[in-house]
Amino acid sequence: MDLELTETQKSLQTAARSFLETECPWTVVRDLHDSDSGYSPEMWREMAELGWVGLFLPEEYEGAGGSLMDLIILLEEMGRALLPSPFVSTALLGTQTLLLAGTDEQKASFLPQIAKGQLITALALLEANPDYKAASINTRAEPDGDSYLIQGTKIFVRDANIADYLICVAKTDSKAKPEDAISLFLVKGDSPGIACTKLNTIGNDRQCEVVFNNVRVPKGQLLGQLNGGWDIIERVLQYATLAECAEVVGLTQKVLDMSVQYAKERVQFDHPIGSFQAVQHMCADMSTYVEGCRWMTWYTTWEMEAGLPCALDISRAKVWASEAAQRVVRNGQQIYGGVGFTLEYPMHLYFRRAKCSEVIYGNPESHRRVIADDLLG
Amino acid sequence: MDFSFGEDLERFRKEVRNFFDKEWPQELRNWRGWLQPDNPEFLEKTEEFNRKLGATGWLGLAIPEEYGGLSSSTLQQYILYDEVRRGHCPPNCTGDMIIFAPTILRYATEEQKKKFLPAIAKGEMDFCLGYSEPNAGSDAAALQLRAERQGDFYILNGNKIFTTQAHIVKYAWLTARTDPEAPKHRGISLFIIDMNTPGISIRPMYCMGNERTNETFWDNVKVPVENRIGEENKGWRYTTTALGLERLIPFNTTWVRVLFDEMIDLLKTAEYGGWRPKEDPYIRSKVGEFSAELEVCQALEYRILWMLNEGRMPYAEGSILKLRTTELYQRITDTFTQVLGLYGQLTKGSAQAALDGGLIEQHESSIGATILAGTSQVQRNIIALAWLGLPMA
Repeated sequence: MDLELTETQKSLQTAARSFLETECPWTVVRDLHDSDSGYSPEMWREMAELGWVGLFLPEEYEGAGGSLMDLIILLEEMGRALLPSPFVSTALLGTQTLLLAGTDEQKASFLPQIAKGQLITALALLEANPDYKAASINTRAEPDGDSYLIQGTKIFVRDANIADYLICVAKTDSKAKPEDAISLFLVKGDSPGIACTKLNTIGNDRQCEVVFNNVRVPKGQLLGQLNGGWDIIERVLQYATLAECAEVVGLTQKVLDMSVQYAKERVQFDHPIGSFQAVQHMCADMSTYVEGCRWMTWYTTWEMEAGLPCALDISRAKVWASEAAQRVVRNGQQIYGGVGFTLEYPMHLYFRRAKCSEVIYGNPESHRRVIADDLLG
Repeated sequence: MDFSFGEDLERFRKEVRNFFDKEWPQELRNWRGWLQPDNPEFLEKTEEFNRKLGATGWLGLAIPEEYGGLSSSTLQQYILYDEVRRGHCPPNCTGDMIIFAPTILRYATEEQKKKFLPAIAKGEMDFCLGYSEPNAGSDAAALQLRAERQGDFYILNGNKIFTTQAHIVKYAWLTARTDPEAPKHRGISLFIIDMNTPGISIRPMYCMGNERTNETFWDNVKVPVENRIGEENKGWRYTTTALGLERLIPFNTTWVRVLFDEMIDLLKTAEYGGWRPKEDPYIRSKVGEFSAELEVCQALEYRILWMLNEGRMPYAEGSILKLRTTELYQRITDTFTQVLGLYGQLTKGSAQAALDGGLIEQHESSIGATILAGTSQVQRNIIALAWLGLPMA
C-alpha cells in the first residue's frame, strides 16, 4: 500500500492551483457565467498548451499519456476554481469515446486536434426522461444512401453551444433490446438541421437543448460498431461520474478553507466566531465530508485503474459527493452569514455549482437505488 | 382546548383573501415582482396596492381607535399578516403595523403617537430597518453608527448594511450609538428618519434568489430630537423586546405551505418523457415527511399566537418555531430540486423549470432564511439558555 501522490501529481497540483488562482479567480467565473459562450477560448488555449486537454490521452495522439489519477488531481483543482470550461465534455467524454470506439483513422484525425485545443466536443446523450438509461433514448438514426439521417431532441447537453462536434447517441434498431440498439455518431456542430438552445440553469453551465431535425451524417462518422454504442456510453459515464466527484473534492475543500479562514477573522461578541463551539462543530462536520469525498474518490479511481469492479463504488462516491457538496456549502454559507447570501462574495457560486453537481450523472436517489438493487436483489 | 379562530375571524379571513385575490392577483404573484424591486412597473403596482390596502383600514388593526386604528385582537392581526404571506403580497405592507406601531404605542410620546400612528394606519408611512452594520450582525449591539446630540438635532455618521428597501420606503427605523462610553447595550437610541434627509446615500447589494438589499451611508445626517423614540440610550431594550406579532415575522408556516402546496399540484401531473415523479417511492416518502413536519410547525405557530393573544410574551418559543420552519423550508426546496433530477436545476425562462423557476429561486432564497433575523445558531443559543436553562460557557 502506498497512498502518497507521485511527484508528478504533486507538481501538477501545485501548477494547476497557481495557474487557476491567477487566471480564474471567482470574479472571472462570474463574468464567464454572464458571457454568451460561457467559457474563455483564451484560457482553453493556454490549458491545451499546458498539456491539460491531452493529459489523459496516449502520446501517439499528441497527449501527455497521463493516468486517470493524474486527471483526477487536475479535476480537483478545476472544481476548486469553479473553472467554466468544456474540459470534461472534450478532454474526458470526447477523448475516451473516441479512444474506445473510434477507428484508427478517426482517432488519428480527431484526437491530436483535441489535445491541441483546436476541437471541442459535447456528448448529446440525454432526452426527455434524463435517467441515463438506453431505454430512454428515442432519437433515431436511419440509413439513407451513404449517410444516416438523425431525428430527435436532446436535452441537458453540456457545451453543445460551443462544440465543433457532437457525439450523438441514437437508436439504430427498433426491435432489439435498448442496450443493443444504440449507436454513436460524430456530428458536426453546425450541420444543417441542428438547433441548439441554451437552458437557464442555476449553475449557468452551458447546458443546452439540441434538436436534430433530419440531420445528415456520412456513414464514415459512425463511431464504433453499429448498435454497439451503449457499452461505450456506460464506460465513459463512469469516467464522467468519477470526474464530477473529483471536482466536488476541490469545491468542498475550497469552501472549507474559505469558511475556516472567515471564522478566524470575523469578530462578533468580541471573539472570532471560529472560537464558538457551534461554528467549530460546523467546520468539523464539513471536514468529515471533504475527507470522505476525497478518499472515496481516490479509492474508486484506484479500483478503476486496477481494472477492479467499481460500478457500485462509483455510485457510492457520487452519493457521498452530492450530499457532501450540499452540506459543506450550506455550512459555509451559514458561517459567512448575511454576506454569504449576497452576490458580492463568492459563496453563491459554489452553491450554484453544487446544485448542478448534485443532479448530473444521476442524483443521489438514483445512485442509492443502484446500490440497494445490487445488495437486495 | 380550542385551536379554531371562530366564525367571525374566519369570515374576516375570507374577506381579506377575496381582497388580495382581486388586488394582488395570481399574475402578480407569479411575476414574483417583489423579488425585483428595481422594476418600475412593480413599484407602481406596489404603490397602488398599498394605497388600496391603506383605504381598507386594516393596517390599523393593531392601533387603538383614538389613533385612527381598529383596536383589533392579535388573532385578527395575524390573519391579515398570514393572508399577506399566502398572497405573496408586497413585503412591507403589514410589517409597519406589526413591528413599528406597537413600539411607538408603548414607548413614544403622546405627540409622536398622534403624528405617526394614524399615518401607519392609513398606509402612508413605511419603513426600512436600520439595525445591521458591517461589524454588527449576530452581535447586533456592537453597532457603531454614531448619533451626536447638537442642540435640537442629532448628527448621524456611519454605515448600515442589509437596509432592505431603503431605496423604496419613506422612513428608516434605525438604531444609533448615542453614548460611546457606556457598555454597548446601554448607549443605543432609536430613531425614525425621513429618507429624504440630506446625507443619506444608498448602494444596492444584490443577493441570491434575485433579491436586493442595500448598504446605506449616513454622512452628517441631521435628525430632529423629536424623531427619537423613547428615552436616549434605551434603544436596545426597545428593539429587542419583541412586541405584538414580531416574533412571527421572520418566518411563518404559511410561506412554506404555499410552496409545498404548489409542489404537490405540480407533482400530481408532472411527467418527463414517461417518468412520473409521483410514482417514485422515495418522493412519496419525502412528501409524507414534509407534510408531517409542516403541521408540526403550524402547531408550534398556533402556540405562539395563542400566547400573544393572551397577552403573554413568547421568547424561546419564537426561536423554536423559526428554527424548525426555516430549516424545513430549506430542506423542502433542496429535496424537491434534487428529486426532480436535471429538471430541478432549471431556472426561470427554461420551459420545464419547476413552478416557472420559482422552486429553484425559492431554494436560493431559503439560504437566507436561516441567517436573517437571528441565525439558526443564535436561535439554538436562545433555546439552550432561555428554554432549557443550560449554563453559559
